Amino acid sequence: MTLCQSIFLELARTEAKFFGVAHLPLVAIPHHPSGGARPGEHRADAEGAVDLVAERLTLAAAAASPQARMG
Amino acid sequence: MNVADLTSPLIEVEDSWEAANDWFLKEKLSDGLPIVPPTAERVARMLDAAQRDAQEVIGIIPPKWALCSIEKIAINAVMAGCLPEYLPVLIAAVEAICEPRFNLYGVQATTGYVGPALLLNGPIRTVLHINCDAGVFGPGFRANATIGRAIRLLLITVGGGYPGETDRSTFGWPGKYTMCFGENQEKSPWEPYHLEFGFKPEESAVTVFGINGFLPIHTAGNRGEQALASLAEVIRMHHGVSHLDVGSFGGGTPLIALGVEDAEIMARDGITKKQVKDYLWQYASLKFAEIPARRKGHKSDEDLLRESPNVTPDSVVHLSTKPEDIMVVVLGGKHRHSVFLPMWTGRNTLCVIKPIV
Repeated sequence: MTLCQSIFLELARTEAKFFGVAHLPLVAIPHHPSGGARPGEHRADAEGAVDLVAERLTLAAAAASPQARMG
Repeated sequence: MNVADLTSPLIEVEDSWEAANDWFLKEKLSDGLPIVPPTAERVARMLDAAQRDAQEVIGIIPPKWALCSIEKIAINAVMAGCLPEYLPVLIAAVEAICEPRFNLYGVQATTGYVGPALLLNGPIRTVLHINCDAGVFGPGFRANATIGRAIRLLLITVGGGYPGETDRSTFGWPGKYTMCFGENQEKSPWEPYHLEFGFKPEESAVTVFGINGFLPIHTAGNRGEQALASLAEVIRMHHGVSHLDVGSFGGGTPLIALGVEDAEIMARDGITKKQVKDYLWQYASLKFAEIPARRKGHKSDEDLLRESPNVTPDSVVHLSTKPEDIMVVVLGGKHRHSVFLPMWTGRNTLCVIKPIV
């Protein structure tokens, strides 16, 4: 899976296609480091990403497992 | 070159210029301007100029990370309207933009404005009729216009850098259509730029710069020192607003395009090119303390200083890491105009020079 800032989400999707992994799980981070985030928003982005990363990784793993495919 | 030796897929469209252009636009393989349809015959004629293996890979172009062979370069050269004799310049330029220090992936994908600009030095300028004089950055000259355009087309068609999709530039800028120019060596009072890098006068070279904009400077004063001081003053102001948000203070290889008359006045008053660089390094600078807190974002001074190796202990932010990293070229026509062409966010991209063979 890949983390990226939301401005670059389209780039990440397209690049994943170029690399032959069109369904690569992506997690978008809302605020750019040099954008207009208010105090605390970068921390909130990071904390919010933790659950999303876990979710995407779990789903990706489940989708790839033989049981999941069978079941 | 035999057309049967070409390996790129042959696309069949209705036999008209309009149909070919519609296809390229629909496939997002265009810069938006009309292209010359790259028929097999035209591509083969273009390749004849290089006398090299058409399948030789010159570089890998992001974000598609696609192999760029001489055949692909020739196809885009045809599309851009190049003459076959321009092909060696394009091959050298592709080699240059694919060097890691140019950071083509960043250049292609950033929200900034940056695009490659090509500087030509040596006899190739006169052979190809590259404009180096009045209007050097403007229209009217086939070689300047089409060589720069072919590079942009390669970045789109081979590299997959399409505006609003993989090319995330917030605004883009007109220099992304085409930017190719030559040094006005014949009217420069100093040695040509490429000699600084070990080239001989009879050799030709292309230098690529990741240029992020264009700051015209109408210099002031009738003495060389005054002209230089006015140049430093304007660059300093720009420097102060272009590189501060992301913690990359200074650095890079910023390009100063000195107008012929400014260079003449400076040289007349005993100023060397090295002194121009030293002066700009010293005076086109900011004190760290002068940077308003609002421009430092959420980062502490300690963080910013740690991220900015170019900030010296006495906290002066220079235009580049060292004076010799400031690139000075002499070009254009008469009158007191010079141009500062900043690189994309300080040190994110560095210029690369390659021989044209």
